[in-house]
Amino acid sequence: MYTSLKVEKFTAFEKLDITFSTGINIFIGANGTGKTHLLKLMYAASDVTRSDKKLAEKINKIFLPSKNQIGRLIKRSPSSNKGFIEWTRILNDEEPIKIRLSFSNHTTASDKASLSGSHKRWMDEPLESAYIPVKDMLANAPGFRSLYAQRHIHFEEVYVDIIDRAFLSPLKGPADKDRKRLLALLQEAMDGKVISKNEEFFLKNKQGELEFTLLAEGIRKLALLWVLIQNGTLLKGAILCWDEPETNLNPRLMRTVVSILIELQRLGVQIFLSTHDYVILKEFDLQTQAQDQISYHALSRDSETQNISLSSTNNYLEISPNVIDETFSDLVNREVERSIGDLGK
Amino acid sequence: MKLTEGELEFNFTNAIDGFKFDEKDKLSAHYHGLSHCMKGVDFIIELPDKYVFIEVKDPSQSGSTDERRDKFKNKVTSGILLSEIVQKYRDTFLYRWAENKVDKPIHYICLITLESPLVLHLMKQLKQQLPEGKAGPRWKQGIVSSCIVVNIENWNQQFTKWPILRLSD
Repeated sequence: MYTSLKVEKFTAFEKLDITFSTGINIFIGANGTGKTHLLKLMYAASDVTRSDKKLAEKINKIFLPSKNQIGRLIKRSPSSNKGFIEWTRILNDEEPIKIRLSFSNHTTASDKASLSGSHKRWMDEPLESAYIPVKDMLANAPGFRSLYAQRHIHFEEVYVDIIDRAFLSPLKGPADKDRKRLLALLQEAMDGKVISKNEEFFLKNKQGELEFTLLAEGIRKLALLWVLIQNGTLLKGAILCWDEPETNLNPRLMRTVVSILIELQRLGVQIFLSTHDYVILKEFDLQTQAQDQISYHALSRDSETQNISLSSTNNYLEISPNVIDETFSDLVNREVERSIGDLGK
Repeated sequence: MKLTEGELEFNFTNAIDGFKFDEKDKLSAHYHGLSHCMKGVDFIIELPDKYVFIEVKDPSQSGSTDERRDKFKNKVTSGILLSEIVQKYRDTFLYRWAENKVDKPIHYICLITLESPLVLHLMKQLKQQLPEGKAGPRWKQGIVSSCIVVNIENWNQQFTKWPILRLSD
């Protein structure tokens, strides 16, 4: 479980220090404030504990800097720049451990980036994780993994990884009560369960077996969540990073999605998600209870320095700046102006 | 022209006249006297070329309990709040008609301390239930020129001549 992340001079960030909730962490902010970058960083440091890939290499694969030059991920500046990323996690309520990856804009090969901190212990303790990208990949699964393995295709590795996770075989033995309940909730929302045959996924219900390419994108998202719960990727201690869950999802389904995320948190999954959506945010506000662990992290860009800053709170009403709310407020103001012009001005 | 409702003090700096509409004080010039059978908005403001009816709902006022806030939430979701603000306008309009005081266009502003997305939703519903302008096919005049819902943030941005002070601050 992560407790904090520090970054300096990395991509859009000059300096950022985030303290995480042990449960749900929601990033909000305008486009270009680095939400996806943060999710990818959380995922990279988790994934390497089970894939035995080098951290710097993993970061290269999911950020895809041009010509694989990791130095291009350093925040751009006229002079030379050094930066780092530092993750902190706790293992079984012990003292927190840290790892730090440092490199400069002159670092070309990923193996020249320096890794410090409790690197060995970090790698010895596997951290299950899944990263759900904005675009659905399950429908494109057939052949995609072998293509990616054999050829240089320009796809961020998160897209292959999520297919890999989806193809993990189900856990042995019957699902426990909690998982059964979550699976049932999803089955009800998507009206069926997911099966796979020869790298192809189908939604199976009374009508038969439907190819994923025939399903609405929103339903594919629910299906992916179903698979990840069913095959035990999302269990106590796991990390889930989800970039904009609202994409292609009917607002009515958001209630189900949010209730499942809250339940997963209660079961001990740590969640990182980014959103632009009022309904998602409001569902979290309405559905969380006092014992739930949730933090809202608002990212914003200073108009003068262009630096990105962060403000975190556990209280929905204190999210500031809240770009989503500001957008609605702007709509109210324009509607008011259209109705009554300059009355009161 | 200063008027207060709950802990909000309004200053209508450019008003010719302004008063609490449902005044309970029998000695006041604006004594309402029909509150047992007619609902009423909180204030009426008179400007040189129009009247403004103002209704205030402030569940976020200090000292408000969770129970009161929950009750208000239910009012919002059940549609009771909407019917209330619609009825308040209609009854006030009738009262003013009987007073011979509908001689200028009337605007209706509901100040409700809700989040902006909910404000937007409520405004749409209000406009559907209280049609603006000459809405009926046979109407020769309208009953309301425009009706809007705002929260305090929107109010402050829009109504710069009518500052609000929260008295508990």
